[in-house]
Amino acid sequence: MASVAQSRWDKASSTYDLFSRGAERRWEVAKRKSLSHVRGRVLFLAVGTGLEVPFFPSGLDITGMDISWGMLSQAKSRAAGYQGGFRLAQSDVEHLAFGDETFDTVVTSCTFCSVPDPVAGLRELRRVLKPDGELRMFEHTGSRWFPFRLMLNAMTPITRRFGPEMNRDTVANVVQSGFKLRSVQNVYLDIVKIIVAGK
Amino acid sequence: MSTAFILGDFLSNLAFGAFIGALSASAFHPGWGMLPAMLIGMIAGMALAFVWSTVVGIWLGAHESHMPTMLTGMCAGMCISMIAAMESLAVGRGAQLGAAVGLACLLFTYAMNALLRGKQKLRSVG
Repeated sequence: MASVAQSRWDKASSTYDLFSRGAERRWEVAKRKSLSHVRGRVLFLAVGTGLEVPFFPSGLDITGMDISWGMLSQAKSRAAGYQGGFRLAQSDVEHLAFGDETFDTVVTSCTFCSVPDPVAGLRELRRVLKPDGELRMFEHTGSRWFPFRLMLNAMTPITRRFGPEMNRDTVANVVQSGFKLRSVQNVYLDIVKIIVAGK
Repeated sequence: MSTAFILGDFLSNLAFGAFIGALSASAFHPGWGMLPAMLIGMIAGMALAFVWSTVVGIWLGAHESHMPTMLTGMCAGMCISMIAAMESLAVGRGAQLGAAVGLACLLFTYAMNALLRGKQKLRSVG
């Protein structure tokens, strides 16, 4: 499954910036505000082409991770421009190459729509997070409201062929993986959310 | 939200609604059964909206373009196909009705967004 995801995102890396630029502009204020709370040693996944690197406050020690070498290759110049420590690493979220309780903050951005086993991935994040650490997610999820739920369900069989699933209940997955929710903020409808959780 | 995004949302939904309205008015006529016309119009409207909003989403953001446009495709496709199956409908009139449906769907999505966005009570999520 991981190699399928890797292959998909390698293929998508050349057009990723084009298709993401509208969303990034639309969400920039909310993302900057959320990332202003990030502290200490940070794990950021999935870093993609590094579009969000400028949104992080300066002076942090960040490890940007992605499953796709193609994405990481495009992220290099943005990571190099960060005012602080920013290293890039290739890894699968379900099998992270980091020790237990390594990071103060784990940040995700539109990641758990595409992870094949989201609960297993979130358990890995819980493992690498320090006991007083914080998980800070910016994710799109399914909707509880008609007609948006119907449309997201209708889109998912198509979108999952090239990456994301549109109807996941990521908040429930966070709870199921053992995290304790601290806050949930809807950014667009009840679909785009900032989820904050601790151990 | 910037003026450019609001303007883009309105232009996209009005134009797509007009397109689906014109298409429905030209594809269906009183010889069609009302139910099949509605179903075909609704499914075709949603399918075309997916393509439209994927392109428009490059500028307007994927979710912010997909949600109102797919709603427009569903409602305009269903309603205008139904009207065209009941009485003769000129293409221009279909486009006008489609644009009106597009506007209504965008305003509905804006209203829902105003209701749903913001911090959530933790017992009501998950």
